[in-house]
Amino acid sequence: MRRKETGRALDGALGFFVLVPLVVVPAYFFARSEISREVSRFDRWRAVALGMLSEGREVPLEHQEALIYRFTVKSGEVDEFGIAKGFRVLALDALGGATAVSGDEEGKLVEIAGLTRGDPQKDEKCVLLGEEHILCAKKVDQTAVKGAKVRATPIRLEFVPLFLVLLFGAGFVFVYSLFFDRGEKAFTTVLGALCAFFCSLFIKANAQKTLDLLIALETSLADVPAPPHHVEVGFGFVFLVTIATSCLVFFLASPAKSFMQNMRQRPSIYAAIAPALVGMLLLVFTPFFMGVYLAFLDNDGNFIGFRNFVEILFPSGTSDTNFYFTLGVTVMWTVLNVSLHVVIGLFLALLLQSETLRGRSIYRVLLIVPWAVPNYITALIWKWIFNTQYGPANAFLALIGVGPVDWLGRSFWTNFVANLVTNTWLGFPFMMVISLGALQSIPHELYEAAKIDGASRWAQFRHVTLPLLKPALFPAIILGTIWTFNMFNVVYLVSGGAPDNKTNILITEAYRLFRVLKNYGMAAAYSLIIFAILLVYTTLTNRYTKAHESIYE
Amino acid sequence: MNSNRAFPRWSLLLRYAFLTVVAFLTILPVLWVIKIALSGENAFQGSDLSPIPSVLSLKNFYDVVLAKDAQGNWIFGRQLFNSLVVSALTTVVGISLACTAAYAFSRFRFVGRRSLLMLFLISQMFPGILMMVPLYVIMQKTGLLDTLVGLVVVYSITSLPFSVWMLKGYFDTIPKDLEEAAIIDGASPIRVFTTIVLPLAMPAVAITALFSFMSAWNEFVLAYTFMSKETSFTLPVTIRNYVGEHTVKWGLFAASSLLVSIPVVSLFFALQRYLVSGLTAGGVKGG
Repeated sequence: MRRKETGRALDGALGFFVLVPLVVVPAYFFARSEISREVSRFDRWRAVALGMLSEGREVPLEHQEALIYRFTVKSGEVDEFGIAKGFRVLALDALGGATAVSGDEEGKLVEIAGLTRGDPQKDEKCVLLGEEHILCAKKVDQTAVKGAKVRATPIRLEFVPLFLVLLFGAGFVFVYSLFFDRGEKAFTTVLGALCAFFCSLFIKANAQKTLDLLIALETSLADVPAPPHHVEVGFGFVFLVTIATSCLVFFLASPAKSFMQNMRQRPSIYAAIAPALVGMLLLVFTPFFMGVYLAFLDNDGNFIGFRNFVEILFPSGTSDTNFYFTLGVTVMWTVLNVSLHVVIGLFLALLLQSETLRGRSIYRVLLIVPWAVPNYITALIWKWIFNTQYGPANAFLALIGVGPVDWLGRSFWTNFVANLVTNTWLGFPFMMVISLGALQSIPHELYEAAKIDGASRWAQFRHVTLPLLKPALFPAIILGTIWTFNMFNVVYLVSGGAPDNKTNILITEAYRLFRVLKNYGMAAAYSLIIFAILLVYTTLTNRYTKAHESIYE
Repeated sequence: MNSNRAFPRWSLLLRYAFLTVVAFLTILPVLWVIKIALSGENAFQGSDLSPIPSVLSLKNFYDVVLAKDAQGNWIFGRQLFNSLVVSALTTVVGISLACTAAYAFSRFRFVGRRSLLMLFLISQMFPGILMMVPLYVIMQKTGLLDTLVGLVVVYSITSLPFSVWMLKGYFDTIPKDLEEAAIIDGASPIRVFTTIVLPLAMPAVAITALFSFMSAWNEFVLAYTFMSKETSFTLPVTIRNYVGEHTVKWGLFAASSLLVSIPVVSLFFALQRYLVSGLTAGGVKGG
């Protein structure tokens, strides 16, 4: 009896221990990112100092040291996002603190950065550093510096005290529920609020300390204008964290407790799920929430609320993208594709179904070839087929006397049709296989009965086959709709959005914002809208399917 | 015998004719690719509908297979190795995680089951572009950027929701009686799972494994983003680069496409008899 109660108290404490970090840990990382933004702001400002170097202005030696003081720039190559052109900055930094760089290291850096020592290139300026080093540099590119991966060594938010606060909180919950039967919820909530308050206060103080360091560093460089500070780790932050935690604890304390109890009693179930779940948390859900956060930032990392969404949904005159047009194209694209897939797939399945058909397994194999071929290859094959000069599509048209069509040229419809044909070829085998499976599961007796009743072939199809296909076809259609809605490869590789991004569907348009226009916040907001559309769609269809099923049962 | 009456002779003939035409049209693009691949360098300038190659030259295949980079590394060999290792490991890791999780979801009722299943389902709809920048940052922080292990981890985890749902649907259709009998006989849950459930679920496991393998074998956007050196790319990245913005090497594209498709297509056909049962078991059981 006694042991069981200890166990129950432990469940409550463990639940508490899991719940409170759900708010505190993101808050911790928020503060970290705010600080690292401040650091990169400082770094940009430092780039101004570097710019002074490159303009040939004299920078006093102690200021040079301040420039590289406790910063290490991780080398980064020019990457796809165009952010981390770190090498040059690395070399500049290392050379800037030339006293610390040994002979060969310097040679290596010079080689990497393409800098020449004592031998300036056309648009480079040189300054004398120390007594024997000559730094030749192009004017430092602001965007390159912004993206350089900067890590400031002393800037660290302590985690251990937060952990201790939590441990104490959980201990109190444990002790309380050992001795008292009532009021556990209220006690836990108050304690959660207290814990969150102390934790966030601590984070705030910690952040302030780091910022003070930065400011001290800046004032030591009086020549260079210091950037204004606006970091959002103030009392508003503390207040929000406390309120959020107490709400969370209030509503989720008892489910968390029963979850813990369950986990303690049947650990093997959770052990079976844990690896998959941990992986998903780290590599699916974390990136998702980081992406959601991105949607509320502008390109410089400033928080701008819903402005990205507003610009997409209520575009101003100068907008780069037309959301509603693209949405229309996407809906048309999805509806046409899925209908073609279902009609063709179902028709072929009906033809293949009969057992008297010889060689039907050969036909089946030939007909699922498009599914087996990697879809990016398929897309590129069709890009070749629709080539104006040597594509077979035009060769066929010439055969029936129609002049060459510039398929992937300036017309919206030819581009759209090219995409559509490609995706139809790609997609019908899936629906065919699903229909075949569903057809096989329909009992023969039903047809026999229908025949005895004198039903025509059409009536059999209409009243026996179709209703019984529905349970299998509906999920497949929902799945197919989601796939087609997000069919990136075909649109991206066949038409590439031509002409003027008009044939882009939502997903390729988001990619364009991301890759071409390099507007990450907008791209993230765009993706979130796509996600919302799909979520609404599946929720509605799920409800509809369930309602439908219950009619048949 | 009954159905013989249902389909008169002419209808059957029509059916054969129609299916033959459709099947021919379906594989026509593939035949054309074989033709381009065999055409050597400039053999396909004029428009030509015929799928029969007029030239037989293996030059494109040689060029693809023997391609070397500036340092003299054997590009094709390295990339083939990368693709094989990444896809095989992705399949193994993904399937083992998915099987255990799906079994627990299917067989046990526990707190949080429904919400977790819902989470898995919803995560299927997360748009990839949203996750790309954060994933890049995570990979960089954990030092997995530019490594094959990193690709394996990302591929196997992102394919999990689909695998878990498919396997769970199939496990649901397997009657519990056998397992219960085995447990009464004193078999451990792990033994029950490996000796009874897994063999019965073979069609679904095979199909899920096939899809995991295909998704890793065919992926190029992430591989292109996360890998920086030509020697660490997987094959799809190179194929995609043959069809560039400005220069298009259709001959090399066709030859490498064939080489890349052969393993995955043969795997697909080897396992295709499981397609119907593996895919539809969960959905059809209501009908």
